[in-house]
Amino acid sequence: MLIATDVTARYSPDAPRALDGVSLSVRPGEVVSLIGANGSGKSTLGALLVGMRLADTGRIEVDGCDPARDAASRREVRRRVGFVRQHPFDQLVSTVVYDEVAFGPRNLGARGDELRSRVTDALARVGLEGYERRDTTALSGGEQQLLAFAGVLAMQPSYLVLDEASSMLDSSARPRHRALVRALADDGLGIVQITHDPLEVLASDRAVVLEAGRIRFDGSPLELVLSERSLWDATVVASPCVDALRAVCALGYQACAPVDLDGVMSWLEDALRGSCVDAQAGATVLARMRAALLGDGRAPRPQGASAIDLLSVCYSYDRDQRALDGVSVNVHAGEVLLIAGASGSGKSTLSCVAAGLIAPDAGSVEVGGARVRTGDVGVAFQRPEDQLFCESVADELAFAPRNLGCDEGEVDARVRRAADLVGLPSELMDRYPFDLSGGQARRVAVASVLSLGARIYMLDEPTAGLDAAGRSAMHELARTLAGEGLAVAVISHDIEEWLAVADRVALMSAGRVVWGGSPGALVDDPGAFARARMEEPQAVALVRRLAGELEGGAR
Amino acid sequence: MRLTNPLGSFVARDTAPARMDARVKILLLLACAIGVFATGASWVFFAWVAVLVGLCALARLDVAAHLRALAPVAFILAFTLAANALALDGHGDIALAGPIGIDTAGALRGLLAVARIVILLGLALVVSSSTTPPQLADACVSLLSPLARLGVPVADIGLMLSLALRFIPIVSEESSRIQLAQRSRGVDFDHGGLVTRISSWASVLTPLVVSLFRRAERLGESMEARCYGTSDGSLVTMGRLRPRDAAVLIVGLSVCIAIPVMARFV
Repeated sequence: MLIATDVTARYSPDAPRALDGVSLSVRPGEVVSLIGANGSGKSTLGALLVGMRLADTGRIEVDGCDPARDAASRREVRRRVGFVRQHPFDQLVSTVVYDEVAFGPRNLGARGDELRSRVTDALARVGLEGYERRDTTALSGGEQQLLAFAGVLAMQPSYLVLDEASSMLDSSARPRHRALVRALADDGLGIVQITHDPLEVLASDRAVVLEAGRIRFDGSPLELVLSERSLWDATVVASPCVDALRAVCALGYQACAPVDLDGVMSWLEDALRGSCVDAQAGATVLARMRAALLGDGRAPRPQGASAIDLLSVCYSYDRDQRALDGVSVNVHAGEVLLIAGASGSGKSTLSCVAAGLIAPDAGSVEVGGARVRTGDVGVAFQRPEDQLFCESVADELAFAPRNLGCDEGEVDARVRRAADLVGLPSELMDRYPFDLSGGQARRVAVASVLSLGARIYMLDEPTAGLDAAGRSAMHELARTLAGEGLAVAVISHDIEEWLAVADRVALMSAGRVVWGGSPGALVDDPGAFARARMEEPQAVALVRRLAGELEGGAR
Repeated sequence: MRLTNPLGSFVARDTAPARMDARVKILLLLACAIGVFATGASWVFFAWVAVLVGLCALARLDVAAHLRALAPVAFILAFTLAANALALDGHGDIALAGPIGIDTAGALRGLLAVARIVILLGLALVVSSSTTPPQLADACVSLLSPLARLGVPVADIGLMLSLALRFIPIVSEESSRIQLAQRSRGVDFDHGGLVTRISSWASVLTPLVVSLFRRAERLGESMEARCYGTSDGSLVTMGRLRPRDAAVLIVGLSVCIAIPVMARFV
């Protein structure tokens, strides 16, 4: 058993406790989801469980081994509890896959044949057989994360702590991640996963909700989703799958943890065919799912003129491969366009070209009929908080308008407007940007782009790594900007999350736009995702499956 | 999103230098460095130019791309040449204007210095573009391994070296990413006076350094989580040189000795 007994921790003597009397136990073979808002103490608890930090008071025990006893025990705890984190890049020590996986066991003294067999076994367990000689930096993000798993598994741990290990994966790599977690648990590993993803929580055996350093809930994820609705909705990112689950359970489905959504849908199909559930009730479930997926009865907004036009844009980083291969797309004033696609499909390059930051090799980018200039388009790049550098939040927001040569009165007005848009309280304006929490820093960084006062904005993965509250704030921001008549393009690989916000979707694959249309049309088009070489989001698959069943039944 | 390929980074190509043992390449690079500096001003020096041209061709080095990347260095080299060639006190052999003239001995000295730098830089690029960072790190560890007996932490040095090599592309990618982001916030890196330009670079360097420190910290934690620092520090062994690599080493060393010796007697 991996046991935490009444642990407390704080980062400095005058700070509030990050953990305040937390007790938790994890059995071998069990998957426990640790959920809560940003700053609730999840990562701190994770760091205690893997022996990276020691608790101020209370006790951690891993199969009888206490990391606080001495250095040897701490090392043994680190071996027994593997740790996989958010960014695969920060965990890779080598550029060759074999050396990467061998790093841990080598530190434990494994040599020769034993080392080789440990590496081969670990790679096989995560599905990277035959990757030994590959270059780690040339792997995709999903493969790098699997490699991080392999590096930890080669140390033959009994437990794993996953700190938002799936948050940087694109949606097509997530089903594989969930399957891996389940397979490892079936092999007898006890797993603690820190996550915001509702499907991961539903697929676990237990859910533990942390709030301000204390445990607020510890029990079955089903109990949380069905009986503690408001707590679930406040801590886990919204998903139409959850609405579907709740609706089907209301029709009499007896769910058990871990939840299998395909199983839920099969039950509904059987019940419809056996007339245990009438078609009317089935149609209600479908309507609720569509509403959750596509936004609740949202009126179509009047579309303005085209604000930015990309015409047959091509761009390549080197001779071998085109990052953009004849992309034509436009964004209208007053709309939110979702640009989606798998990693490497050219989305981020597109935003740089659209903003005039890199010149296209062929084709053109026009804003209001003239060639784009820098400053016409505001771009919030991925992890925009990584570009903060000023002494105060206020300076950070004033940076862009000052660069444009605005007078101080205008600068002030733009700063205030940007702060209002993202909901920054005025007492934050004098703070040092590097002291802010992750969610606050993201809002400051986005505001520092909005203060540019452009008519067109591109937001590249604006919600990556945010909690449920932070995400809905970003969704609202995109809608507010569009509501004020600005053109907004959101770039994301997480389609399910943005369908309810977007007015139009463009799917990209291999540097081309391969599909364009409304969110509703995307859900109804069975071939769209295949064309973009993307895995269909689960909610979309379920909606289509149920719609097909109801249609078949009506005939 | 990849934005740049830093100068001298490994390019996967199946060439003779790429197949060669990294230890041989490092030893020969060192030998060439000594040889180039031991070769005085004489027509024999052109043998080094021939060596460089030959190796660039063998490694199929993209010379044009490297020259573009080296354009800023050309300024420093030109300055070196001018500083050596110009005589301002009237002792120049070729008078230009008033006391200003060209000192031919100085010009030759400057030319030789510049040529040495260019040749060594070219040879180093041939090695770095044909060798992966782990091969380089392993080769250094292997060559340094006799020092382990004297208590030098060779294994740690090797790991540090390979991490440093791994961080080079990360730093360059991160810096171009931040630069793009700041340009979108209206920073102009290409215009304005010296002070404005330097201060505009602060907007790149500050977040770059902060994010690299954070990365380094997280990497350190991940290494600790995988029990780094507890092993006995035994080294990765590379095995003996293959006959072909040994032959290349002997021939290469002979060339490095022959050229300076010939320069002395011609």
